[in-house]
Amino acid sequence: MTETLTTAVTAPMVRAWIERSAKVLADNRAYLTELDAPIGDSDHGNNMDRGFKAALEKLPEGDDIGAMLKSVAMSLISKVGGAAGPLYGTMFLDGAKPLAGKTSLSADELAQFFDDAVAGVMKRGRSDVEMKTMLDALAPAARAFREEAAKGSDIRAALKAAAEAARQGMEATIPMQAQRGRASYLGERSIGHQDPGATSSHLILQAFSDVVEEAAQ
Amino acid sequence: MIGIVIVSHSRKLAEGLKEIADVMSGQPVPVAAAGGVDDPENPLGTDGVRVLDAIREVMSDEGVLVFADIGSARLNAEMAIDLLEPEEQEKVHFCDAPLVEGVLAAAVQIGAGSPLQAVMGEARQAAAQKPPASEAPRDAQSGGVTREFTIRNPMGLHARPAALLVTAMNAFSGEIRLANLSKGRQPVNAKSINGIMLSEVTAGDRISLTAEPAEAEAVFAAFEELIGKNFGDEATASPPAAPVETPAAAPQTAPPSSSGTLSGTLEGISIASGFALGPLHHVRNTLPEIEPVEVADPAAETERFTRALADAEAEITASLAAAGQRITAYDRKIFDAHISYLHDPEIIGTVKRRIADKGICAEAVWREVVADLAGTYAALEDPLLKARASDIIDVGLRVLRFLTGGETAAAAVSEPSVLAFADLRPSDVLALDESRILGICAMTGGKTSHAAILASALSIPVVFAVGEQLAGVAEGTQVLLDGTAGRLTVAPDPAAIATMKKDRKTWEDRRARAEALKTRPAQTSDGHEIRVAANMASVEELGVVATSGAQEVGLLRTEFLYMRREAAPGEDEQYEVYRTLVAGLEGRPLTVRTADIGGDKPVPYMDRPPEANPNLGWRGLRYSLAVPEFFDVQLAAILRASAHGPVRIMFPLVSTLQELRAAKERVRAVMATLRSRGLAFDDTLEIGMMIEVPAAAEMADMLAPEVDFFSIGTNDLTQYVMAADRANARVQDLFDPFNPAVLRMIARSIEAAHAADIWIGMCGAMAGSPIAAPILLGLGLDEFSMTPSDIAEFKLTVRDLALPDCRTLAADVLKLSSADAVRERVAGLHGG
Ligand SMILES: Nc1ncnc2c1ncn2[C@@H]1O[C@H](COP(=O)(O)OP(=O)(O)OP(=O)(O)O)[C@@H](O)[C@H]1O
Ligand SMILES: [Mg+2]
Repeated sequence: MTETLTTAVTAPMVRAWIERSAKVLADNRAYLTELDAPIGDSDHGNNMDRGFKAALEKLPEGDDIGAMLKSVAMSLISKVGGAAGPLYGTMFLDGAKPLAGKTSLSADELAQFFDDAVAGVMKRGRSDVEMKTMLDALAPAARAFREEAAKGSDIRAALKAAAEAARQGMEATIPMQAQRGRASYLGERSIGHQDPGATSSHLILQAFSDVVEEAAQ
Repeated sequence: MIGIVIVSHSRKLAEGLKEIADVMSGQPVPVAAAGGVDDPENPLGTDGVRVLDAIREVMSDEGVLVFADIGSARLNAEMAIDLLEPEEQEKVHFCDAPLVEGVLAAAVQIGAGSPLQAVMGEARQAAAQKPPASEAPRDAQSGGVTREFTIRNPMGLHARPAALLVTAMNAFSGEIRLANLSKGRQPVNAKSINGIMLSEVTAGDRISLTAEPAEAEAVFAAFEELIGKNFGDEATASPPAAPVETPAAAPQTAPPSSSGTLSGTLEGISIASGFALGPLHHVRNTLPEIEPVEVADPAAETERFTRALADAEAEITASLAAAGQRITAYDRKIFDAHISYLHDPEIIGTVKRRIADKGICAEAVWREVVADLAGTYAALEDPLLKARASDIIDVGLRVLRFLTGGETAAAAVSEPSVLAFADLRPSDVLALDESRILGICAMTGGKTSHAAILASALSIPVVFAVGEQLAGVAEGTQVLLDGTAGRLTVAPDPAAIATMKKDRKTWEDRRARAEALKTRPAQTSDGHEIRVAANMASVEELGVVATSGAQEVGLLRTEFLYMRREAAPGEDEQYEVYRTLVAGLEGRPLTVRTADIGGDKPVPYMDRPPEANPNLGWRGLRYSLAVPEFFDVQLAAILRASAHGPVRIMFPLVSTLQELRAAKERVRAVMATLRSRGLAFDDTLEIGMMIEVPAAAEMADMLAPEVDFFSIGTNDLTQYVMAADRANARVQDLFDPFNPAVLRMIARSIEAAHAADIWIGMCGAMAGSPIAAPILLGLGLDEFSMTPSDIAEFKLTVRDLALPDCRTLAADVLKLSSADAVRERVAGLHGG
């Protein structure tokens, strides 16, 4: 395997990311719903699947990454149905704001995208890390991406690090007591279960890392 | 006017709440419902874009308030506000208030013309148990002029009367305070709906009103006027049907043809009572045949189609506006549904696609699509859905008119006539000019169709389903329409006309008296009072129940919650439904019967084995006890609703003491769980059971000490006591609650209830029967729960009875040997 550096994420890669996310979320629909059963209302799998299916269907043609991500945001806001809708919706919307008209993204721009995305979710959910939510996967991922990218290494490695941080963050939600969303109604009884939103966040980031990796080969 | 947006996980809840808000606000306040997601299989959830659209729908310079239930509803409400343009955003506020109470309080306050900040303040405090702090100790007497009044209207200052009061008081600029002296309450702001409701002013209470000296006299005068009008209590009752004028002067158009014309009597079903005599006029309103013509420019054709849809919508809106008070907020939603067909992406998409694919004219394509859709509905089993076919054709015809440029089919009659339709449609009702139309008959149609619901409110007789022969009656033939009996007489002879005139006089007198009595308590001529209640089986009936004169709901059938869906409704969904009902009943108790779903009802997800004899099978409490995960969810939902107003739980089909105890044990267990979940409920709520199994009637003395009330279900009790299936026409003679065997069971149950000091009601069909009334009164029944439309007439019946006579009668009929003998004896009472 030759080590070519990936220095930019192109529009086709972003499109592939959305397509892959839709597929992975469809494949994991039952799993996400199962996670949502003990601490939620058993709809997260169905919500995410429905949302990303709609996002894929409405995804605009062309190479404008900002427009693509904004369209994804609107589809999720309308079609997810649960709390994840406005949360992921804000994530893509706020993340995409500085990217209007861009046809490829540098490592810096991506790092900014992740930071804006996380800030958006925090604002929308009035939440922070350690509250047993998707932020426990997203925030460490954004940090890992920025740190890895700062080392001068390529985007592939940075995305890999982000996906791995998301996975760890997701697992770290198991012992937490939920402080936001439906799970928080359960108080102490939310302890011992993995958060479904953190899980879908990990799946989405892993999908990003995978498609960029595949594109490089 | 300030607009309201309701964001809820449930579309039904959002729409139901909008309905109550529409009715309560007094004037049309712009309310938009944004509930549910666009996914027929999982409709619960929220859609941020739908919220955004809803905000824009009710947007005006005065602002918009957005209310949400929980979780994503809030997040999506805030999301939608963020998505607005900055200049729009300024006007939109998220209102952090309990959804149901908040929306209702806001609607009333907006209707009364309060400013935005005041509306928000009221909404936020809507569910507070105590008067808001600022209202508490305050010397209202200082600097003001005070006068005392006694409130006499039967409902006291509850929702609607309170709303009227708030509206009236808002016309004054100074501070006005109201104190309930009888209940020793602190003065509250008389411009605040919450303040007034929290003062709990009931009939007979003395209150004081304090106003600023400059306007005090005017305030008191306005208040006196409201007292004079009984705070609208009378006005909310539908006016008695106006007498129908016989067109004595109307020229008698001789039947043009003699051969084809039928004579005699056609039997149908009564939709609206009353009598009419006049010439028959046929109105055609079926889909015409349309020749598919090829078009050169499909794009232009699509354009023409889109315009026709917009024109049709504008026309509906305009005729609704023109109808004004003639049609209620409840009925308006029928036309909202019509408008929604005009926006249905399925329908529109299909039409556009076919125009493009086939290149034929829009009217032919539209006709085909409408006919198909109507055909699909018409083929369905469910009578409610079946009836929608008529709505589809109605909208279809309207659009067609715009496409073909045809004249309106509306009955343009040259002289007052009785109209004849193949099938009456909602738009026909809306287009009617009652002053020129004597009555309506139709060949087909059922009581559950939208047209029937609308027509039933008309003050002219309406009869449906008289049959195809109607088509054979020649235009202009003299007919006599008896809406009370549901009968059309073609070419009546003078004797028939004379009889009709007599019947009409009696009917008009009685009707006027019944309407006047409707909202008063039910009392016998010697002052014995009983409770009159309504039976309900859906949220939609709230409006009818509210104006029926019912003091409470004696039976809420909950099966509707479980029908036509993929999975059982969850606790939250059920809770929201019960809570909506409790709010809509404005303090009148709601008796919720736990689900009685038998093997004969199609509820696929329950996965029940087929039963040879569902009536004697695994249904009612038997099923609930065997499937606690099903039962507990319902109990939890009912209990939680009891935190918001008076609620009772009632168990169906109890056969043994053990079952009853087991059911009560479930209630206790669910109460314990709710406590640990920190959820509120009324732990003193009444728990009762139905008496519908002979075993329960026989053992009533053992069961009574275990419950707070009994309610007799006469339909099942009769079928079980007489061993006669109520659906089998061959044994209908036996299926008769007037059989002394059934009456003795009833008597025994009432006796057992009173011996144990509990009350007893009846919620079967017998409760509303005027023939049964003296017997049941004599036996001592406490509560009579019936179809809302029977209440006015029932109160009138009771009014003419005296308790001692009823007691003698009741003792007598128990000794008779047949149902016929019982009826005869009752007739003797009225005769003598
Ligand atoms: N305030 C919040 N901040 C961040 N994440 C949240 C918040 N509330 C919920 N979440 C995330 O959303 C996930 C649940 O998403 P889902 O789509 O199942 O919503 P839900 O809870 O069913 O929504 P609803 O409020 O409509 O019932 C949780 O697992 C959690 O990660
Ligand atoms: Mg969920």
